[in-house]
Amino acid sequence: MGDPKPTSPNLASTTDLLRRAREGDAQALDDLIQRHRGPLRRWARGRLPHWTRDLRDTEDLVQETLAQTIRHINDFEPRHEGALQAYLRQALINRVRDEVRRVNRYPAPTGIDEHEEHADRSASPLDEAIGRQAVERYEGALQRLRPEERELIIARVEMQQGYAQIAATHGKASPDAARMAVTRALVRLAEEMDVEG
Amino acid sequence: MRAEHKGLADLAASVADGTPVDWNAVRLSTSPTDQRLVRHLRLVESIASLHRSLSHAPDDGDDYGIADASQRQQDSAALPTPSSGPHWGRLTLLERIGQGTSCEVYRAWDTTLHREVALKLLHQHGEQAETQARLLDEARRLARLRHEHVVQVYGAEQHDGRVGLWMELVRGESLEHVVQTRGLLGAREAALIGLDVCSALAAVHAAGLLHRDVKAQNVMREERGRTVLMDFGTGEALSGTNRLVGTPLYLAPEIFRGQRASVQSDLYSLGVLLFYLVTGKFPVVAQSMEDLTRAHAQRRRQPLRDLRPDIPEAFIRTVERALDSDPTRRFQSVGDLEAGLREALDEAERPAAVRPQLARRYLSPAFMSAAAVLAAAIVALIVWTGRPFGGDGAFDSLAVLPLVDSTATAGSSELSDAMTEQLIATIGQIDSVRTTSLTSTMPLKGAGRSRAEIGKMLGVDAVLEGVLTANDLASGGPGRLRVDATLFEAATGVKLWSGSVSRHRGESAALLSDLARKVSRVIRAQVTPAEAVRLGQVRRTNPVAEEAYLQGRLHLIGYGPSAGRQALASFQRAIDADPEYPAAHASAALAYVKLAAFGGMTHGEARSKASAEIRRAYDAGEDIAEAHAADADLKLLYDWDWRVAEQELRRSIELNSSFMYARNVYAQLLARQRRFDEAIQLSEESLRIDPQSVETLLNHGMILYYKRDYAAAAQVSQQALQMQPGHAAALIFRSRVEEAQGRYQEALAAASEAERLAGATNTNLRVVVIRLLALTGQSDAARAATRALVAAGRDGSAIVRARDLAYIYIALDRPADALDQFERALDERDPLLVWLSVEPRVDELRKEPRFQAILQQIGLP
Repeated sequence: MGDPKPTSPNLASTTDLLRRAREGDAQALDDLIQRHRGPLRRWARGRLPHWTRDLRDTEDLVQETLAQTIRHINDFEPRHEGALQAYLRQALINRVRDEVRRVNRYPAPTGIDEHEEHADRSASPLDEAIGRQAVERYEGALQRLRPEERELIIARVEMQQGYAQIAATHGKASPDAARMAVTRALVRLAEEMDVEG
Repeated sequence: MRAEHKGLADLAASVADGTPVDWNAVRLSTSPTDQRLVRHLRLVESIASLHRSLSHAPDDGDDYGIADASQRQQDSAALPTPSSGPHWGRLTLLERIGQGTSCEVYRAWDTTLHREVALKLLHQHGEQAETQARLLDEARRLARLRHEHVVQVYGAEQHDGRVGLWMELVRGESLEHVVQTRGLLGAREAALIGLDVCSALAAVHAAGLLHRDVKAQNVMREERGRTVLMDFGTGEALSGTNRLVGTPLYLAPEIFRGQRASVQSDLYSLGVLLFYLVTGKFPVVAQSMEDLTRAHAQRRRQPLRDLRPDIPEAFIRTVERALDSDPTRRFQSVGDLEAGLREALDEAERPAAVRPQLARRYLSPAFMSAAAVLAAAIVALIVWTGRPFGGDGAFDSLAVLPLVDSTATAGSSELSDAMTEQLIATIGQIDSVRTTSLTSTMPLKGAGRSRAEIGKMLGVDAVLEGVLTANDLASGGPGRLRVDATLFEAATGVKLWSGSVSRHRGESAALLSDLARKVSRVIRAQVTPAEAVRLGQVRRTNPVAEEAYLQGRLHLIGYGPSAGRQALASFQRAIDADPEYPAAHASAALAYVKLAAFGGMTHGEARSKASAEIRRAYDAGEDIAEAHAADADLKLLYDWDWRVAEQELRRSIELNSSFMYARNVYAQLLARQRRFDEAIQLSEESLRIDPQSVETLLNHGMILYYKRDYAAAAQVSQQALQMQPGHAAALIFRSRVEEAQGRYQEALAAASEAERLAGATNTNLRVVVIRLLALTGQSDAARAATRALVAAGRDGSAIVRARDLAYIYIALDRPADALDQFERALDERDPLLVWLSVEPRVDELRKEPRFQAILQQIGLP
């Protein structure tokens, strides 16, 4: 059975880069990291708990996770760019959890802001800005969407990708079509968020 | 119904785009049923906003996936330069933005967390150590508050002998500024703001604090419409002091008497705020502190009712209680005041029987008598004409008569009719104008009725007439289309406007959009920004595709399978000539669904082909009412996904509130879910849009039938047959209603007549007749006919579904066999099982567990 036909130039190159990275091609690994580091870093800033700063810089965490994950992906074949991003996001979350278990401590307060003493140190900036309950409602609803809808929302809302980019990575005919798809997904998301009452 | 579902998708689009949304304005225009969804979208917008702000850090320099470069450039230009300006602690002061008696306020840059903040720097105090310690302690308590309507305090420190408090920078305007620049608020808007402030105060009080300075200057309305309670520099612990703190006109009377501040004094201040928002005045007015103290002691004040007798009673009652001079008689908690405001909101939203539109800017007493005379005149006019018309000379209902064909060549008459249909659909996108459907105006073609008669018959204020001239039509050349139109006031025949619009062939969408916009200006229709955008987004195509599409539209409103086939053939020609024609794809989807409904195609094939057409319409990036309606039908009939179907139908009607297909399907969906009141409201509105249509009338009648209101259903049946004697669907409906009322002979007569008129064998009609043979005691005949029908199904000469046999077995008193067939139908996913929840003909099976299990699987109540 031959390789699956990619549906976009980006996906074609991603699939090729992935294969070469697994075979030990350092340049291919670097290209893949470059490609995904920015969106993951932006996503991570809002989503990872504050205290991950104390483990190490978010930048380092993302870099390290990317390198390790991509090198060791064996069976994963992304059908579209969004699928690989989702895989990497989950890898980052798992990495943070592993680090917590290994270290088994919460770092001491840095004292930068006095109010940090009272802040919930497991909270991410998103939790703090929006409220953890609200974030959980949002995430719960996201999980109940179809995968394509979920990825569209994460790409636009959390990773702040442009419509042209979303069109390219999600197989939409045009930026306008991507915009409409995102809009429809958001309405579905609002309906799902209402399901819990 | 139209106004209730407006704008959700447009709102989602704004959230997706990242464009600012005035959430308070959205709340004002959103129906109660959609408020929760709006709140969820607002939450998502907050999440997007946070990620946007975090993504704008200076080191974010990758090239994969951030929003377009010009946006990035703009955003980076807006960021302040961290290193410029004087410093206070870790903050760089950028500009002074306010000054008060106790402090200065700066826009500042937090060099540690890289964000803009507002810094309140307190002046140095005489009793420094104790005061500063107290303020720092209060700031720490405030910093623990996390509430969407309370300004977020980030930190407090002391440097260079000055205490500073830094917090989120709120961009917007104070309510004081809103009232001063834009005039008084209505009760509804004031109540909504009041609810936000209540929510904020509840959080403050729960944290063991009092605000002590609630006033219009301290409540901000952010650019996005968020209400924010500010100025917590004077927030004080509930243990309180006797210092006179706060703006005097907002202070509770007991403070003047030397009592401590309390929750009730905060609520008093909120009462003053609400009073001010709707009057621009204060309940207690004085020229000096002494006079003010005296006024409170003497309970000298102006009642809200005297200043604003127009606003709802519940609002007045709530504010007056908050302003009671005796704190024990006020609301004892924020929650109580909040309940009062919610009641006020309900009252403000309840529609009055007749409510003349009053300007938001209140009419002072000097105008009251004139206003009363005018209001009485309006009421008299409404009673006489039987319908309201908009204020300020606006018209809110319009009939577009069939365009007259002046070209008189082959195909030109059909083109005129098709352009009429499309013109109605174009104007129908303007929600504030009720546009009569083509099925009601087409019978008037050449009928010679006066405009006044037409206005009365169709219930419209204005009538649009036009003449279509098409050049080069016969030769197929590029040519031009021109419409010469005239608009008349229906009741008087007075000409309101006349003009022409002209475009090349292939640009009819743009031509009709031009005409729609001109007409909307003349009748002073309220066109929302989203509607204006849609009217402006018109697509050009080639003349062949355009004319095929228009013909297809005309066939689509016809009745029966042949109309469906002709429509489909036309749309296919349009798509062949222009493969990316989204409107043609969307309408083709509808044509497939129609064909399957009339048995001209299997449901499986229709579903597959319609889905493909819908996908192509969406992929072209256009938001089309027909695509959503077709999508809804597929979800309803084949997926039994009620929630998504309803969502799609609402979007379809948002895009075109006069789109009868979507309205009728939505009414049916509501009826199936036993939401009869909503269904009837919708179908009554549909009847106002399409008063001469038998199909719309029968749709209404079926809802009454499913509701078990057989008397009303019978009236509809009679009316339908008067409109069109011998109409097959009307006869079938009559048969159903007669059967439901136990008049089986009459039912059989109507069904037999329908079968006779239908001519060729029609399985649906056969089933109806067989049932009634059984119900009228002709069991042998019924059984024989059943055997014949089953045989016809086996030899392929008829399509006999399990559902058909189920209905027959019920009439033959074989409930177990009926349930077997319904279960088979469920396995086959028969689309018409969706009516089982409300179908009277299956009532005797309702208590059976097997029947309940079937309903559960379909997802019906």
